[in-house]
Amino acid sequence: MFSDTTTVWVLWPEIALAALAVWIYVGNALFRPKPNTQTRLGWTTFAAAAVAFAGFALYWHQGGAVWRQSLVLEGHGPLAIDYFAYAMRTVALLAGFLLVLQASRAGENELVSEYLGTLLLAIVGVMLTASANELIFLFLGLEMLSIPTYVLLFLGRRDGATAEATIKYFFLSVASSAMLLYGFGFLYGMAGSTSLTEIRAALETSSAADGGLMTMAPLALILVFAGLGFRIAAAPFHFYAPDVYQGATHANASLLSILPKIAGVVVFVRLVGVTMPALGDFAWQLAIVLSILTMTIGNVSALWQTNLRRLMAYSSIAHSGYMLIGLAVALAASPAEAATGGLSSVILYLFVYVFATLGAFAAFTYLGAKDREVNRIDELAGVAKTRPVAAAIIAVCMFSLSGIPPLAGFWGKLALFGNAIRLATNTESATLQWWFIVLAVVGVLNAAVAAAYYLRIVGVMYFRTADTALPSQGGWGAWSAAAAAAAMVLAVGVLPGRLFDNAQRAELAVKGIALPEGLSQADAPTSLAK
Amino acid sequence: MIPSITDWHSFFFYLFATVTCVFALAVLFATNIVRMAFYLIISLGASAGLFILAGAEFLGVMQLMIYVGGTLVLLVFGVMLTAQERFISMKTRGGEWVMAAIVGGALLVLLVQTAFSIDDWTAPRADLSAVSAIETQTATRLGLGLLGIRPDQAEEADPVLRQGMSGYLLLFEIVSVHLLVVLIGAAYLARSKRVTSLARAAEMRR
Repeated sequence: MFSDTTTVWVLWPEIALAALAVWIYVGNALFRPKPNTQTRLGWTTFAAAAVAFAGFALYWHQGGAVWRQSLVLEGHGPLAIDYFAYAMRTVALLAGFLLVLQASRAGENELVSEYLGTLLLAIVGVMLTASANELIFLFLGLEMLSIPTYVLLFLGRRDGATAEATIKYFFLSVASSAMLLYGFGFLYGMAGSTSLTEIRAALETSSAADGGLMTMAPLALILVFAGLGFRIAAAPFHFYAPDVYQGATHANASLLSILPKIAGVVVFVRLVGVTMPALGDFAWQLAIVLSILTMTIGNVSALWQTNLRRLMAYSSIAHSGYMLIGLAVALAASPAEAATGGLSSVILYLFVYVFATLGAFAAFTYLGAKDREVNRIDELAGVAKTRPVAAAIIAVCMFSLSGIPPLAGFWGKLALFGNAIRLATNTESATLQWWFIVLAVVGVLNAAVAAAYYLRIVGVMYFRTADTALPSQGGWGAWSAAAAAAAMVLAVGVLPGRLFDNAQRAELAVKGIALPEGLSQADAPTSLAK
Repeated sequence: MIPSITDWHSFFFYLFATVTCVFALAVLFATNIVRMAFYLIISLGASAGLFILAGAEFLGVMQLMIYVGGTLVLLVFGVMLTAQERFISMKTRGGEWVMAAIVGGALLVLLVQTAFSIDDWTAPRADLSAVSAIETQTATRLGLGLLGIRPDQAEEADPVLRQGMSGYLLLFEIVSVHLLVVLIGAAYLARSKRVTSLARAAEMRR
């Protein structure tokens, strides 16, 4: 693993963001301003500006080069400098910007600098994970996300439920990191290298059947699935999610449903989808079983929830299940095939999910107040009359999450199910056909079940009258975050071509395939047939 | 009657393996937390012996330094300082035993099955004298990298890249940021009571 000047040069958005985060900690301690709303607003603005600055740094500094080509600076040690890493870092920064805005009035004035600084470091963690091409680096990136998350959960609110949720999350997260490391240990033992490129090469040269060290590959895969399954809240590692979400604030629940999900999916794509595709039938069967379990458990349990954050927790579980469909497609396709669409549909779906969830949570934050959060679904009754814009934002996000056509969620589900069916129809193997047809059917049934509880929220907002009005004191930051996320959902829904294009380019890049001619321009029109 | 060298190797292997397994079971069946921690120290210490016997010296030393020397001593002190009468003994209920047996048993079956399906590990090698420690894949190279020595990259042809073999400096930087966050979290936890009383006082003044 090299860490030379190029490494530092490439990571400079992350380094700048970390430095600015430390400045938030230090600056607030140095000046000791009175903890009031003005200083809170000041630091929020500073943090948002820091994220925006990192975004510009990312764009100006590498964007130009990465945008046009698939692979730049290949083989530079610990970093994967490709379009996939670039796209995921951008998504992390975009989501991070909205999370900072959302937190503008959510917590306590005294702890604003701690909250914002830690939030920025969590974003840095996601970005590092996205750029990592090496096991140690990857793990440190994931921990850079987890450790700030524990602190953020504690900082959110000060009562028994929060403390319990945080402790639960902390212990389970540590256990999942241990599983992940156990799996990494087997990978290192097999390949003798921590570089993902070399691990992939080692896995491809010898197969599990010849009785060599590669027999350990399925074991490593199971442990990696266990470790990452916790991060994205996939069954059977999902059980913490409802309790932890319920105990957290809306701002923290949105953070929990977004940042670990991005990081987990990124590692799933790079480590499982790209590095370990040569494991045979076992890998995609595991992904399919987990996918079916996850989405069914998530959607069916969500049906009878009355607590808003509990419902969103089950929704987050269910969406992880959908994303595993794409992973299964990518694992089942023969490694010789250049691009299957499996990974690109995961990337597409991740983007769509992140912004719809963020919009909903930010709107919930806006509708509540610091000491009175919107907890039950019934409390949303009549919001359409009192707060029409917030209600519209929530409705857009809910429609998108349930996958109703003119919105972004529809395209995400179309890509996932479409690729599963395309794989089933293009293959000769009868087992593969059977499994993927079943998977697609279960996925569609689940989407129908999910529509029931998402539409119930919309129904409560629009067709029931309120007993008491909601405080709506979450601040303009939360409002604008919600509006921006909903606008993104709408824009992607109307014009999905660009996103399809970018997702496909990210898939090609992460697999190390040069871009075909037709994709070389950033704004090439895309047909949905691919 | 002095046994030959290979017998000593087997002897220590069986000794360490027995100690590891017996005390791991003891951790499982003990109910007193302090005793559990002590048994864990012995079990992990013996498994460090197993690592060293297997030629993974770096891993063995790290096991002793980090787990036995650091983490577990900290754990014992933590338990001793914080444990009150009702937390000191842990009772496991029947349902938890069943769940733990299913999960642990599944992992055990998986590990044993994998271990026995690797050909080299099921039968002794015929040419034992030809085995050299160099060809085994251990974590020693990572350990050397920790010190800034990079044997894994020594054959790098590009002199510019070879200069960049500064070990794990970047990773240490990342770890230091982790520690910063941990410190801030710890400071917050430690002072949380004071903040609450201040906030309450401010509220009462209002």
